[in-house]
Amino acid sequence: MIFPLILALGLTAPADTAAASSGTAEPAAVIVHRQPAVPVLSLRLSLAVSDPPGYAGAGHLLQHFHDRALRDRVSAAGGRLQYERNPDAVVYTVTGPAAEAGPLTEALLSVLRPPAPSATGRLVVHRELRDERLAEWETAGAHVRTRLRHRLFPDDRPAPGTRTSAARIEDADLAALWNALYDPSRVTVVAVGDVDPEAVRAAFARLPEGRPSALPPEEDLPDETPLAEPQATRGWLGAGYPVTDADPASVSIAARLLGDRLRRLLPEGEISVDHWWTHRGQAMAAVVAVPGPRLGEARRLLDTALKDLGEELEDETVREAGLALRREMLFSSRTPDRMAALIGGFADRTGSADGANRFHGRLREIRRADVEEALREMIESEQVRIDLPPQPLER
Amino acid sequence: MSVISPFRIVGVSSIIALLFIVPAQGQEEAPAPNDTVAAEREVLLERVRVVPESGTPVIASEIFVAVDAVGDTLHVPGIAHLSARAIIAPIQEELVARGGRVEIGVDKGGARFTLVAAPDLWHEAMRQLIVALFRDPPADAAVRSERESIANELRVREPNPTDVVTRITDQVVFGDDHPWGMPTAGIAETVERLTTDEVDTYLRTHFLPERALVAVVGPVDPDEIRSFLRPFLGEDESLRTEVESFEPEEEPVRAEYPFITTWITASYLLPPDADFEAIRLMAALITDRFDFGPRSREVYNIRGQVRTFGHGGELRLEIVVPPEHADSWEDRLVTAVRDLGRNVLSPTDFQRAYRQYRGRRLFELLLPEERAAAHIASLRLLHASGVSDDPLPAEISSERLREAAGRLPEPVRVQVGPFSRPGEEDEA
Repeated sequence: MIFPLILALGLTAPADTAAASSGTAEPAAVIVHRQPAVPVLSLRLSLAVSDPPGYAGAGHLLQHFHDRALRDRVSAAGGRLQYERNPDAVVYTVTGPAAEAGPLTEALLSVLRPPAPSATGRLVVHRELRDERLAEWETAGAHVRTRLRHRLFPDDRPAPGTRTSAARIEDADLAALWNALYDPSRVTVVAVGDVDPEAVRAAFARLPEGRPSALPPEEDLPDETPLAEPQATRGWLGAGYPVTDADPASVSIAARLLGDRLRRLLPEGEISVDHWWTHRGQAMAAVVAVPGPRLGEARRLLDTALKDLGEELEDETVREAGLALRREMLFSSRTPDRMAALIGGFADRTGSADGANRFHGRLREIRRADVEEALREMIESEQVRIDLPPQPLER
Repeated sequence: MSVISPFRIVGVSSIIALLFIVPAQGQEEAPAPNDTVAAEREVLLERVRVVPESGTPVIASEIFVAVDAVGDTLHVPGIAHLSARAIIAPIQEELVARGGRVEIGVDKGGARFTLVAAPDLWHEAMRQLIVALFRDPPADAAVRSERESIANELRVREPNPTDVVTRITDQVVFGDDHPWGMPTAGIAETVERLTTDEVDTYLRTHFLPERALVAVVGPVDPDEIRSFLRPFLGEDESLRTEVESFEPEEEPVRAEYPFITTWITASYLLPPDADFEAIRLMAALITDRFDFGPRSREVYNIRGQVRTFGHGGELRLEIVVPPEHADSWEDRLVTAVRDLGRNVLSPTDFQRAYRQYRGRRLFELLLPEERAAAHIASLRLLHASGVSDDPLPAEISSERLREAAGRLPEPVRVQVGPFSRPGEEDEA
């Protein structure tokens, strides 16, 4: 196990009428991983919810509003704030000296109430979200990924929202947005670093009670037309392969092997092959950028990429790819905040506090037959292709 | 205020051999024969620091080889840097492909090699690294490739103002002819002329296991790690390395350079027993105070750096301002440091500043490889000066800050910028 000290403090206390009447509730889980090498701790709080239908961007909007006040509080304690809105959760992470555990915890808990920005603050945030929506389309790589995501996960909406949802969330009552999102039973806290497990448990045992209320459902149309023209000096290709039943570890290994293969065959190209895995499902997404003259060759390679990869598979390469991924997991999680992100991301995605450990262990067990099975499923699936030729330069 | 610099004392006493690698005690007397093995083991153990960290998922290690940047008799700036890169280049790609990371750094006192790897890979990767450092001859192709890369990098960086100011300040602080007064990475023209034979000779005479210090942090067993490293690090007597004394300029220096701004540096040389942690806090307070803002609208940039050499260290403050107000800003900078040495900050001001500083300082140690580097710095100080310090920052009080600032010597002052205005030369 890579995380031998994980304590998943499952909070399954019996019904407590006193607690129920105090306006507090329990989170889904509090996960603790001790890394006492440096007196630093990282606290990650995630709310595993989707934006209400028709109000895409609501979660991220609220994060922007919390950002200003929260960043100053965390900075005063010598800490750092990170936040993200991913397909699985609204996530806040504060990292700072262990001696400031109290102030950092209070700062983090403050996001569990609706923000109250000024009118100017609202205007600033609306502009920031608009810029984020545009940024998803502006660079060629982001453009290809955004279009792939839309096709592979049609029910998923981008973190900063869509054109249709933007107007609704900008005018919406923030408390109403928050009440439609917040459910304490969907909150997971991950604490990594020089932490006292009991103190963490006590700090997060009781969260503000939710006041669930639904917003009037609205139609949420994805942005089919790109919001901005991509800047493409090379040819860009995207290939998406949806996955339903395959073992996630097999898909990750397949993605690794495909990326290695494409880089070998297209040494002038910029290649990324990722395993996209959220609570909505899985897919393998390849994004390739090549000089214009190599575009035809790249298209042909992608046409038969999975079949060719399957024919070349060997036990040894599968084993080495699994080993490389295991090592990358360790390497990428060597600071408290990154470890918290790794553990928390798996918890949000799978609902299991031990998800990261299980995945890490599963990578060692995957065999060639498992990867072949995953490739077969992807070959038989309805694949998605995006083709973005280079922009011609004006003479 | 007149404070005698420790290096001036060293200079007055003529050349002093500073032992880089030495047991903490009993070195002056020859050990009894039956103590030899124990003494050597003690030497080896002192050169290897292993810090078990149970929750850290990878093993990070740093090997420091005590060499000077110019290669003693060769006296060519940059030979250590080229040698370090050339000897690692052949193994780097393979290590990365297997999930390891190797980084190289060269400073005034030697070359540093940092390895980060998963626990199941670390032993093999470390073996590969040590063999490359201390046993393998340099590959001609690697020397040529790295030589060209370094020369190109140096040419690109040559007019960079930060590099220019660093070069000039080093010359002023350490002297033109002192190894430390020369650029650590060298000069494009001298690096280009280095041959594979020269690199090979340098490696065989300087990259020696006896000159190495090693720090390992992560999920490790100290005894097992020491047993693993013992065969590689040699059993000979510790190698003495000599560091020439130097005499910094006492008078402020003005160096003409065609910038549009003036770069001011104040360099404070520190003895080995200086309170480095308190001085880092002081540097943070100074940079925060002078950073661009309502009180410092003219400041383009401010930077503070504290570094240790093994037998001491340096606080270097650097500020970039309009030329016409350079003298004023220089005085304000030096006065601000002096004031911190005279007056204790109010509890509120100190607490506010310290909370933020503590976080920033701890973030410098978040990565395990950064902690390995901190332990190497601590080992260098211990072996060169017998001073023991804790790599992890301890709590600092306002009084401790005042005391550390109060013990600082007068700085070496340098200004680099346009001192003659257009037309003045013609008029003259």
